[in-house]
Amino acid sequence: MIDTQMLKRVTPETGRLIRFEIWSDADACLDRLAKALGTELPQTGKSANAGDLRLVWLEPMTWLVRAPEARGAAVLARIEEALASDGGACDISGALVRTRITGPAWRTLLTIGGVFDAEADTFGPGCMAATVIAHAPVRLDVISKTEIDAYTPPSYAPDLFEFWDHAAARLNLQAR
Amino acid sequence: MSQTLRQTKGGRIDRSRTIRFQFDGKTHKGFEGDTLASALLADGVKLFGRSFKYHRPRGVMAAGIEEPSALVGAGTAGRYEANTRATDLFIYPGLKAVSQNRWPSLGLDLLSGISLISPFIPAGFYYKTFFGPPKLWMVYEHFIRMAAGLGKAPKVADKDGYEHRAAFCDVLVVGSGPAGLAAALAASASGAKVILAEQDRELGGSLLTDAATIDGQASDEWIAAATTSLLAKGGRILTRTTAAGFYDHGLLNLIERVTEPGQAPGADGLAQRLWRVRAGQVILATGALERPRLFAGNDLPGVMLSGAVRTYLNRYGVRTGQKVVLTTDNDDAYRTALALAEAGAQIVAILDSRAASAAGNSLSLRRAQTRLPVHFGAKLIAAKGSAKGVKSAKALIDGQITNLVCDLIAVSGGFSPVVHLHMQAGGTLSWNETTGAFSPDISRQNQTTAGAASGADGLGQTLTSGWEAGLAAAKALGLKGSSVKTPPACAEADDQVCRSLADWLPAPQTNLKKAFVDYQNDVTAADLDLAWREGYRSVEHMKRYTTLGMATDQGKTSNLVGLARLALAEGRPVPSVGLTTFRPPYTPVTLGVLAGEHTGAHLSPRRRPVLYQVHAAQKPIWQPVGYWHRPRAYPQGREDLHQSAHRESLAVRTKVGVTDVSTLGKFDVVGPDAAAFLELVCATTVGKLAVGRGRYTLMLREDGMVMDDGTVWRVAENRFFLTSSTGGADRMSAHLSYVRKVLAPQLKVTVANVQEHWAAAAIAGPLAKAVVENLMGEGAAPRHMSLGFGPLAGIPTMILAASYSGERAFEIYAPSHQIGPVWDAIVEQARGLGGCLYGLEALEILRIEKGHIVVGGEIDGRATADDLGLGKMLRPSGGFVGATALGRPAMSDPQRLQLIGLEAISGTIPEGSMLITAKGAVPCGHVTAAGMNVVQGGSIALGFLQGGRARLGDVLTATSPTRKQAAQVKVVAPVFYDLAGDQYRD
Repeated sequence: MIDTQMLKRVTPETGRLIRFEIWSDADACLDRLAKALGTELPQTGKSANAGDLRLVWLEPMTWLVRAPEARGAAVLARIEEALASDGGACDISGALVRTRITGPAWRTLLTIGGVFDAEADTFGPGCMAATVIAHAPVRLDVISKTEIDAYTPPSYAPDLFEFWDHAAARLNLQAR
Repeated sequence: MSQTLRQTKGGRIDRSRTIRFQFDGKTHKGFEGDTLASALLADGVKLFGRSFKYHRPRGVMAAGIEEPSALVGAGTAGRYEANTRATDLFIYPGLKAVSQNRWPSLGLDLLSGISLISPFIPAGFYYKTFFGPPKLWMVYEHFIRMAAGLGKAPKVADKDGYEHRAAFCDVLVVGSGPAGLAAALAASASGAKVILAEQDRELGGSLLTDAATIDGQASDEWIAAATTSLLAKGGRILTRTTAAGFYDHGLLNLIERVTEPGQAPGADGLAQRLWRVRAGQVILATGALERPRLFAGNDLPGVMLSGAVRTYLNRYGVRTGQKVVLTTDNDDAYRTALALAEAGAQIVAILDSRAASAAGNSLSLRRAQTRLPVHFGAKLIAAKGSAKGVKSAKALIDGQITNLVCDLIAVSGGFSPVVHLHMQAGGTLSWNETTGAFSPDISRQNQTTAGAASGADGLGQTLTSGWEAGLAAAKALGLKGSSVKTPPACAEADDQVCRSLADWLPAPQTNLKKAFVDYQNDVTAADLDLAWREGYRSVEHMKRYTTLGMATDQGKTSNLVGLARLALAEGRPVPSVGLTTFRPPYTPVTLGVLAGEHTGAHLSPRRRPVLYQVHAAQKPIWQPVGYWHRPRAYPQGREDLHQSAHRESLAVRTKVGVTDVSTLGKFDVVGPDAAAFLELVCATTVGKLAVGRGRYTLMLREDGMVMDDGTVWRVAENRFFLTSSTGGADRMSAHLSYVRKVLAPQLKVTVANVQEHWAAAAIAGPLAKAVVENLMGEGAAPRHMSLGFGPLAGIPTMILAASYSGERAFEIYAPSHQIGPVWDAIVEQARGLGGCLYGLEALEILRIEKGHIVVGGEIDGRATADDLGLGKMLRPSGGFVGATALGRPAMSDPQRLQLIGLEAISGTIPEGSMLITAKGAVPCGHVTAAGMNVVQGGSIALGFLQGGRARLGDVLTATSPTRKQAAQVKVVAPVFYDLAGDQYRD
C-alpha cells in the first residue's frame, strides 16, 4: 500500500545535478574520479552514494551526480579536474525534477502506465533504469526496499505527479 | 418469471444469493454465478435479440465468448456497453440489459418484415447498390443504415476508470482449463514465475462443465490445490482476463474486466485494466470451440451448441429443453444427451452423421446406445419454429424424412482449436482432415499450444500436453526440472474423447437460404454459394463480399464452416482455399480500456514551461506545440486572437515585446572536439566562430533534407551552446546522440541536453536594447549574434543577441529554477517602456513578415537548404551530415518547390491553400504560412512554388476548396520586412 502523502516532489530541485562523460583513457579517468568522489563510479544500471553525493549511471560512460546546492560548484570543479582532458561535465541543475516515492507498493505503482519491469526482484536498491511512464521520460533510482527516486524533466512533472497521485489513491483503495 | 427451467439442485451457482436484474425493462431473478444468458434461460426466456440484417429472432447458441447471437446492451448512460454477449456477462444486482436491433420491441419487431424480401438482398447486395446513380445510393444508405446493425454506441461519456499496467513473467499461460492448469503447475514447479490468465471468473475451463477426478481428487479440489500451489510460488492469477492480442517479442495484451459490463466499479473507480505482459515463454491453452451444423432454421431460438446445452445444465443448473434432438458428428454430444436424460429431459433422437461403423466407442456413446434413440448416418434438414423457439425438426433418418417434435436442438459439428493467438504470433497451422480442424503447427515465437487448442482429444491427453508444455517452457528458460515428475492423471479418460468425423455436407433436402453459416452477419450457405458463382474464389474476397466472419465475433463459429463450403464449391481440400487473417483483439475490447488513463486532461502529456503559472495568471490563449502548452496570445479586454496578436506584433515592431522561449531545444557541446562535432551536425560553418559569437545554422538529415534550424554559440574555446526548435527538440536530441555515438564515436566531446536546465525570455523591438541595459547596465547588451553574461535580478544569466522577429532582440537565459525573478524584472521593465508580452501568434506573424522559416511549416522534411533559399549558407567543403546526398541530380532540379513570398492582390490568403495558375489547373505549389503585414496591412504569406524563384511577379490563385476560400496573389521574394537587416543592428 502506498501512502499518497509519501509522494514527495522536489520542486525546484534543491540539489545540483551534474552530468559528466568520459571519452578517453577510461581506466585512469575512472581512478581519478573514484578518488575525487570518494567511491568508484557505479556500474551499468547502478547507482551509489558517496557521502552526501548520489551517483547514478546514465548511459555508457556517462553519469549523473546529485550534490547539495551549497557544494555544487565545488563538486563540479572536482569532477572537471578529475576528468581533465578525458571527459566533459555539464551542470544540468533544474533539467530534472526528483520525485521520492515511498511505500512498499512503489513497484506496483510504477507498473501502472509503464512498460518497465519494476517488480523484478533484481531491480533492488542501488539499481537505476530509464523508461517511459505515461508518455513521460523517467529515470528511476532505487534508494531502498521502500523508496525510489524518479527523475523526470520538470515540464512533464505536474502531469506525471498527478498521474501517480491518482494511481496511488486507487492502490490504496484496493488495499483496503 | 420464476426460474421454471432451473434444476432444483446442481450447478456452480449460489442458490442462497438471489440477484435481481432487468432485461428489456422486465425484472428477472438469477443466482450468484449466473450469466445473463443462464439466468434468462432459467426464466424461460428464449428470444434474446434480432439478427443484423434480416431481423430474424435469435436466442442463445453458445455458453461462452463465441456467442454470435445473444448480444445485448448492458448498463445505462455513462456505463452502457453495446453488443455484449449475454453468455459472457455475469449478472449483478441492478443490472439493466436491453436487446438490440429491434423496433419497437423484441417480441414485436416490425423490421422483421425484411425477412420477406431476403431473396432480393442476398450476399453483396450492398455493393450492388453502388452500380446505380450515386444519388440513389443516398436513398439506399438511409434505409440500410436504419434497418441493419446491432447495438448503438453510447452518447454519454464513460465515467469509469481504466488502467494500463505492465507485467513480466517467465511463463504466461493463457487459459486455465485442465491443460492450462497443468502447464502452469509444471512451469511453476520448475521455478518459473508464472502468470495465468483466464477469461472466465473461475479457473477450470471445461472442468467447470464436466467434473472429473484428477490425481484422485474431485476436479474442484484439484483446481483449488493448483491455485494454492501457484500463488504460493509467487504466481499471478488473473481471472476475467482475456488475452486479446499477441504481438512481437512475447508481448501480449490482456484485458481484465474488473467489473462486469455496465456495473458500477468499486471505490477505486476502476472498470477494466489492460495488462501489457512480456513473457519469456507463452503457453496457449485456449481450448476449442464447437461448431454448428448446416440445416435450415439453424439460427432459431432453441437451437444450441451441444456443449453449451451441457454447460447450462451442469454449471448453471438450467435444463434448456424438455424434448431434445441432437445432431452430431462426434462422441461429445452423447455426453450432453446422457446428462439431459439424467436431468429428466426426453431425448427424441440423436442424429449422428457418422456411419455406425465409423462412430466412436466411448463410454458415453455405448451408454447412449443402450437407452437412447441413436441414429447413425442421420442428418437434420430443418428446424421449425418461431421467435418463441423450436417446435419441431425435420430429419433424414435411414433415408427417410422424419418429423420430430422437440423444443431444443443440440448441435455439434466438431471442434475448432482456438488458434487465434498462435496465428497472431506468426504461427502456422496443420490440417486434420478427419476431425476437420486446423491446429497449431510451427510457432514463430517462444510459444507453444497445449490441450484442446493443440488438437488434443480427451482429458487425459489434455492434461499431459499441458504438463509437457509447462516443462518444456521452463526448460527453454534454463530452469531446473520440476520437482513433480508425472503429469496429473485422470480417471474416465476414455469417456472424454470426441472422435469427430468432420462432415460438411448438409442433407440434400436442405434449404440453404435458411442455413446460416455466420449468425451474427446473417450469412447463409446460399450466400456463399452465390458469391462463388459470381467469381469470388479467394477466401479473402469471399469474406469481404459476403461479410462472413467480419462481425464482432470474428467468425469464431462460422469461419471454418464457411471455408469448408468454399472448398466444396472449389472441389479442393479445405487448407488449399486458404485462411483469413487472425487479428487482435480475440474478443471485442472497449475503447475505454484502450485509452486507459489517457483521457480528458490526460489525453496526452501536457508539458508545461517553467513559467506556466506565471503565464496562466495572464489568462492567455494557449496553444499546444507538440506536448508543450505555450501562450498563443495575451488578449486584453474583449480582444480576440487576431486583435491581440496584431497589438502584440505591432508593439514588437514599434516598441518592445517579451516572450517566453524556454521551450527551445538547447544543448551544451563540450570538449576539445566540440567544434569538429558541430561541423558534422551543422551544415553551415561554425567551427571558426570566435568565442562570444554565434551563428544561425541548419541541420540536415542524412538524405540531405533540412531537419531543423537554430543557432550555435561559442561560449568558450571548447564549449558551445546549440539551440534548435521547440517542436524538433526531442528529434534533435536523438540525432545528436546518433551522430555522437554512431558517426563520430572517436571525438572527444560530450553533448548534454539542457533544454529544461535553461529557461529564457526573448526581448524584441526597437527598445529591446534599452530594456537590457536598464536592467543590466550600459554596455551589457551584446551586439547582434554575440553573447554576454551578467547578473539580472541577482541571478546569473547568459544573453544571446539573436532575432527571430526581425527586430533587435535578445534571449536572456537563466537556470530554469531561477528564471522567475529574471522574467518579472524584464516584463516590468518592458511594460515601463510601453511594451507588452507577445505570444506564438504574434511571433508567427513577425517571422512570416521577415521570411524566417519554421519547423513543421517550411521545414517540412521535404525541403533542402536550397529549396529554402539558404543554399549559399552551406559549407562548400561539405563534410556535414547530409552533404553527400545533396549531390543527387534531383536535388538541383530547377522545378523543385522553392520558398517564395506571396502578396494578396485581392482577398485574404487562406492558410494551407494550394497555388494554381488557373481554375482546374494542377496545383504548382502551396501556402505554408499566412498572416497580415503588421505595419502596412495586407495579406501576405510564405509558400512553396515549383521553380518559384524564377517566377517572381507571377499572378496565381491561392485556393482552399475545403474552406471555400481563394485569393489572387502575386509571387514575391520571401521577405516582407527590412530586407537589409538594418533593424537587427544598433
